[in-house]
Amino acid sequence: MRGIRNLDIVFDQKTFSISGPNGSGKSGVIDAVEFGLTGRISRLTGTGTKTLSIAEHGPHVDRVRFPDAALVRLKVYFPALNKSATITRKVSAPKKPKIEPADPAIKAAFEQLADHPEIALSRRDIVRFILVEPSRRAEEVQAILKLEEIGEKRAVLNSAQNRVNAQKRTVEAQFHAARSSLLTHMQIPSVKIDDLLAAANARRKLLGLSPLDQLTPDTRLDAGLTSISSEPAFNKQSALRDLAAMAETRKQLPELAKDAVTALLAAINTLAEDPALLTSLRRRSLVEQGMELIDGAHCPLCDSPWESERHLRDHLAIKLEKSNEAQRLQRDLFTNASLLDQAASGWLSQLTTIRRLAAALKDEAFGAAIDQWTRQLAALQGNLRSLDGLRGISGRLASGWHVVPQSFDEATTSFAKMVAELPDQTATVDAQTFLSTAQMRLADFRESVRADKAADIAVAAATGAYTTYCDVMDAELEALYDDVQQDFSTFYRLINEDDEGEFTAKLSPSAGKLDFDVNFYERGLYPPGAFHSEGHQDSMGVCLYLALMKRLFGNQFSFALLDDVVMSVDAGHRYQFCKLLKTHFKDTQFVITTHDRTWAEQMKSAGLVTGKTSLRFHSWTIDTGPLMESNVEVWDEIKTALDKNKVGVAAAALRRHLEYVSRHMADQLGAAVVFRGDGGYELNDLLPPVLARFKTICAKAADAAQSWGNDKGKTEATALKTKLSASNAASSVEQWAINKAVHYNEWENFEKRDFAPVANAFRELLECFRCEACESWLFVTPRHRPISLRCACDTVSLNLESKPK
Amino acid sequence: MPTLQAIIASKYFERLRQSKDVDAEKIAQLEQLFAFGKKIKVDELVKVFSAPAGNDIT
Repeated sequence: MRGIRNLDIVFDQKTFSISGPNGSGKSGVIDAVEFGLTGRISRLTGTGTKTLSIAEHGPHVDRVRFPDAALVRLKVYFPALNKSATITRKVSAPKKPKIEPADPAIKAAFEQLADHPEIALSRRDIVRFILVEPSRRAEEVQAILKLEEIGEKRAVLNSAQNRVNAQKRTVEAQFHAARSSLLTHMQIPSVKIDDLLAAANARRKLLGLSPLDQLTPDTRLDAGLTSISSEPAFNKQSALRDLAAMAETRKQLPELAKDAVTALLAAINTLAEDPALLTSLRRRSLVEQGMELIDGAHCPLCDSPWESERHLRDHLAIKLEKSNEAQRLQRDLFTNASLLDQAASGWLSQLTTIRRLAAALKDEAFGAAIDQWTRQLAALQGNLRSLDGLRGISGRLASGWHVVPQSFDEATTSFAKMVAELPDQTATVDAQTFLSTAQMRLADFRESVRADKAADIAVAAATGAYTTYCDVMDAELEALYDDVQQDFSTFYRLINEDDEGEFTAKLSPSAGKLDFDVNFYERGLYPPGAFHSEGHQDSMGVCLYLALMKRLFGNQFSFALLDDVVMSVDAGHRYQFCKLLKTHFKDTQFVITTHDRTWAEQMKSAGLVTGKTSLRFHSWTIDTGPLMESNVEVWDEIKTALDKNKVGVAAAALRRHLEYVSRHMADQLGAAVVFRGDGGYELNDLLPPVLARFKTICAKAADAAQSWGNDKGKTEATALKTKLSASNAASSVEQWAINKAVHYNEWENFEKRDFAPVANAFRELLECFRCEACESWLFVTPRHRPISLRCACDTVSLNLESKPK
Repeated sequence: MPTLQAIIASKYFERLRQSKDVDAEKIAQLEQLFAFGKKIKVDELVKVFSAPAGNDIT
C-alpha cells in the first residue's frame, strides 16, 4: 500500500528507529502501521486533504484499482493480556479487520487502539498543539483526550442558547409592535396602568359605564358594553392614527436590518464565486443532519452498514473537520438572517393590526394587498432559515427585503381616503369602538408580554445552563490541564535542562478556548511561537503530546508512532530526548522515523534503540518501495536478479549492501576513514580502510594470544586473518585503485557469468566480519582504545592486549 | 474510576440545582437528555428551556 510494494519489519516489541533520506519511504511504514492498527492514515485526513481518501489513495499508485490487494498485517503483543494476535486490514475494508485469534479480549484491545488515532504523531501534528489559535488548540487537545463529548455538549448548549436568544428577539419585535399598536390607539405615552385606565374610563364615563379602578388579568376595558357587535370594532380616529403610524414605519423599513442584509449579500456572493466552498457547506449541512440522525451502525443517509456506530460517527466527524471555513460562513449567514427575521416579524405584526381595519371596513382590495405582502414576508422568513433558501433570495435582498407589492400603495391610499371620508362617528359610537378596539389591543399586548416574559425565562434558563456547564467544564479541564502542564514542564525541562532548567508552562482553558503560554528564560509567560526557536517548539510539541498521552492512557500508554517529529531539535537535546523516553516511558514502544542519519546514530548511542531495532532505508523506487541498507535477503535478491539476467540490478544491490556494511563496520571496528565534510562516503572510501583495520586487529589478537600463551585464541585469530587474506574479494578491493576492470563501477557491465563469482566472493568476505553463531557483526570495545574483538553472543571474544613484558 | 465526562455531568447538575435560573423540572429533563447516551439535539434543549407563559403586566 501507499509507497510500499512488500515489506516485512520485525519491531521486536522494542522502541524502533527507521531512518533514511527524504522520500525513502519512512512515513509509508508509519502510514502502514497506523492503518493496520486504526484503519486510518493521518496524512490523508486534516487540512488540505479534502480530495484524498484511503479508498483511492491507500493502495500503491500502480495498484489503485486493487484496494483488496493493499493490506497491512501486524503481529501485536498485548502486555496487559500477555497475548499476541495478528490483525490484517485491507484498504478495501478498512473498518473490518481480520483478527486472529478471535479472542474477545484481544478484539476489545484492538478496538481500543482503533479508537485512538493519536498514537501517530507527525511533525505537522505538533503545529496543531503549539502554533495554533486558542479555540483550535482546545479542539485538538480535547480530541486527543477524547473530550469531544464534553465539547459537543458545550456546543449544543451554546447553540440552544443562541436559538433561544434569536426567538427572544423575534418575540421582542412582536412585543414592541403590540405595545406600539396599543399606545397609538389609547393615545398614551407609555403602558402604565393609570394611563390605560384613565383613557378607558374617559370613554366609559361618556357611555355611562362604571369606571375601572384596577387592571387585573381578568379586567376587560369594554366591560358593560351591551351591544358588542360580532363585527370587528372600527374606530375612525384610531384607524387614522394607525395608518399614520404605518406610513411612518414604512419610511424606516429600508434602514431596518440594513447592515445584516449587506452582510448576507456579501456571504451569498462569496458562495457564488467559490463553488468548492458551497459544496463544502452543502456537505456540511448534510453531514450535520446525518450526525443528528445516527441511530446504530447504519448510515442514515445511504443506509450503508458500518462496523460500529463509533466508526460511522468518526467518519462523519472527519468530514466536518474539513469544512471549518464553510462553518464560519454558515454561522455568519444565519446570524444576519436572524436579525433580518426579527425586523420582518416587527413589520408583520404592524401589518396584522392594519389588516383588522381593512376587515372591519370590508375593503377587500386593501385586505388582499396586505395579505399578499404578508405572504411574501412569510416566504422570505422561511427562506432565511436554510442555505438554499438564502441563496434563492439574493435578488430579493438586493432589491430590498421590504419591497412593496405593486398594489399595496394604491390600495393603502384608497383605504386611507375611504377612512378619512367616513362621517365622524358619534361620541357614543366613538367611545364604544374605542373601548372594543382597546380591549382587543390590550389582549394582544398582554399575550405579547406573556410571550416576552416566557422568552426571558427561556433565555435565563438557556444562558444559565450554558454558562454553568462552561464553568464546570473549565474547572475540571483546568485541573486536568494542571496535570498535563506539570508533566509537560517536567518533560521539557528534562530535554532542555542545560539552558531552561526553570522552565514552566501554563495551559488556561476558557469557554472552548485553550491558551498556552510558556516561560521564556524566566522573563515571563509568552505564546510558544513568540520567542522560542523552531527546535524548542518541536520539543514542546512532543512534550505536550507525551503529557497528553500519559493523561489519556495512564499506564496503558504502550505504543506510539513518532514520524520525523524532532528534526529541529539540536544534537545535545536529542540525547536528553532519548533519556526522557527511556526514563519516563520505559513501557512504551515507540517507532521513530528520521531523515537525519546523525539522529539515528544518536538513538543507538543513547541506548534507545540497538542495531537490531533500527533500520535505515537507502532510497526508494516506485517499483521496489523502500530499499534497506541492511537487507538480510540481499543475496536472494542478487540471485533472483541474476537468474533473470539482470546484472545491473544485482550489481546495484551488491554495491548498496557493501556500502551499508562498510559504513557499519567502519564504525564497529573504528576504521581510519578519510573524513568527508559532506558525509558522502562511497564504497571506495570505506571498504579498504575497513579491511586494513580488520587485518590489523586480527594480527593484534594473534600477537596478544601468543603473549598470554593462549593457543586457542591464537588459532582463532590466525584463522580469521587467513580467511580474510584468502578472500578473492579482498584482493579485488586492494586492486580497485590500479585495475579498473575489477572496480565496482564496472560491475553492471559484467556478463552474468563474470558477476556471479564476484557476488559470491563478497558474500564470503562479509562473512569474515560476522559471528557464525549469532550472525551479528563483530565490533571492538572500547571503541577508541580497543582491548577486545567481540560479537553479540560472545562466541567471538578475542583479547587485543598483550601481556606486559 | 468515573470518566471525566461523568464527573463533569455530576458536578454540572449539582451546580444547576443551586441556580435560580433553571427550575427543577427543566433540570430533570436535562438530566434525562444527558443520561440518554445519544448526542443531544438543539431542538430538544430549546424545548426544555422554553417556558410556559410568564406574568401579566404590572
